[in-house]
Amino acid sequence: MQSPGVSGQSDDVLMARVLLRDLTAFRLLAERHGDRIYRIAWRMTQNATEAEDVAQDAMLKLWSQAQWRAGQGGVGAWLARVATNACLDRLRKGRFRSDDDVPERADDRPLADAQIGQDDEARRTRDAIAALPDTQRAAIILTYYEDMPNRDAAEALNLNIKAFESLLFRARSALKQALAGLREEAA
Amino acid sequence: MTRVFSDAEARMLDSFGPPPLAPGFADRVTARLSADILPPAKRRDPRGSWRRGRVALFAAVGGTLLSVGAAAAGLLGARMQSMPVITTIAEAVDAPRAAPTPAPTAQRNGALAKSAAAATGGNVAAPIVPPTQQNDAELLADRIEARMKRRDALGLSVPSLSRLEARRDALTATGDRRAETMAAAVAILASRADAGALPAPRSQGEVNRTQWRARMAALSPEDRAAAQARREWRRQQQMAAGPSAVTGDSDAALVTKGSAQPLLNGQRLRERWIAMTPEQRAEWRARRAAREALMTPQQRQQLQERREQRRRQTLAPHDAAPEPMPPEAEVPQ
Repeated sequence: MQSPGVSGQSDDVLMARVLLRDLTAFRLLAERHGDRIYRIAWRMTQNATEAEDVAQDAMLKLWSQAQWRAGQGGVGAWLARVATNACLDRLRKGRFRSDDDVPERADDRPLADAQIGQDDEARRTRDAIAALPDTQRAAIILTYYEDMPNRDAAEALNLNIKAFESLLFRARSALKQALAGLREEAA
Repeated sequence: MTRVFSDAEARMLDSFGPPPLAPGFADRVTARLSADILPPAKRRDPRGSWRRGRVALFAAVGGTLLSVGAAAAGLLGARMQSMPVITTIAEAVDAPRAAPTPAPTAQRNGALAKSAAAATGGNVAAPIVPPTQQNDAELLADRIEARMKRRDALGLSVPSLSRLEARRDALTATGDRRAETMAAAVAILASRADAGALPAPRSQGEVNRTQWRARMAALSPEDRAAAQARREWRRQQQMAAGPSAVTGDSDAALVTKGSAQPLLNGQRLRERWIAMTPEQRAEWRARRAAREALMTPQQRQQLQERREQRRRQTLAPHDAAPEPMPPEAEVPQ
């Protein structure tokens, strides 16, 4: 089914094939970038079903807008931008659209009693990040977790670089303060 | 990247990890896409044929009742009296035309004057009819002459009388109802040309040469020599290439293949580009990018060199100005 040599092609070549309505190339792009946009969406929404919904919507948008995207490069950055903005929209509306169940998968986590301490810390960290305003959370997720350069992250959030750096500074300060409070509680 | 979080903070942040994406994500997206591309087939309504038949039946019955009601009320008879029938139209077409038909305005004014004279016993002054623009032909001749003078004043090409005659012949050959008016207007213009009232005709080539000379005069001697050399080189290229060269190039695919015109890819592409909508331009760009993405590096470099060469030619002074639209004779509807 897969075209010979397609799997080693660059994103730009795959986009050119998507423009010619090649489903195999589209599938390869989904395999390449699906994980990343899912991670971003999950950290933004903290809901697996919603995150996958956002990731699928972003990929479908890539298909429908292939004629505008082909030849412009930066497919990954564009998908991150689409996913981030979709999450912000959904959070702004205050409700999630998807009622589907999370797809079945094996639970490969260690036993719960062995992870109580770590889980508690993870839950507190998760709450601290969730307490950030949406755009500050997005700035932390894109720069810290996804290692995006400030310029790309600023583009993803439709901000100029100065405004983004200001936002990132405020986000880091708020997060540091929240984490310091958690450490004091734990001590 | 400078460290903005301490080790302890980084450890806490790293504990905030998402669950893994369920396997088969790409399959699910592709399946959803296929479902979007192929909408589900419509289920056939077993009562569909009966519903359609019933609608047709009601429409027919309704139409019949309306017709019967209108006929009974006498509406159709009153309406039909004013409708021309085919025999009347055919007689009007076959009837020989009276040679000089007075203008409708003059007829109307004359009729008004007669009726007014009859009503007042003949003590009314004659109607005022403008001395000029007596008929459509004179009006058309005036408009053509004004346009010729305007184009002459602007330094544009001015159509010759033979060109107007060709236009007249074309209208006559196609059986156009404006042919007679055009023929009369051409006759009027011919008499005016004999009297020296019309500007001298000027061809587009003459205009182009004049503009070329003016541009050359404005250049420095070095630039002028370079422009002339480029013009000569282009002329040789066109003569050597001939019409068959207008195929093969990826960009030239936009130009009509098999055209007998000399090779003017750049100019044609520019005209085509100007005529495109923004959506067409974006699609063209995307298709070009897609083609280039599938090319080998050598092919892409060759294409880039050709494009750069065309761009340099575009930036240089042209040896021919873009031709304005040819002046067409205007005929009132």
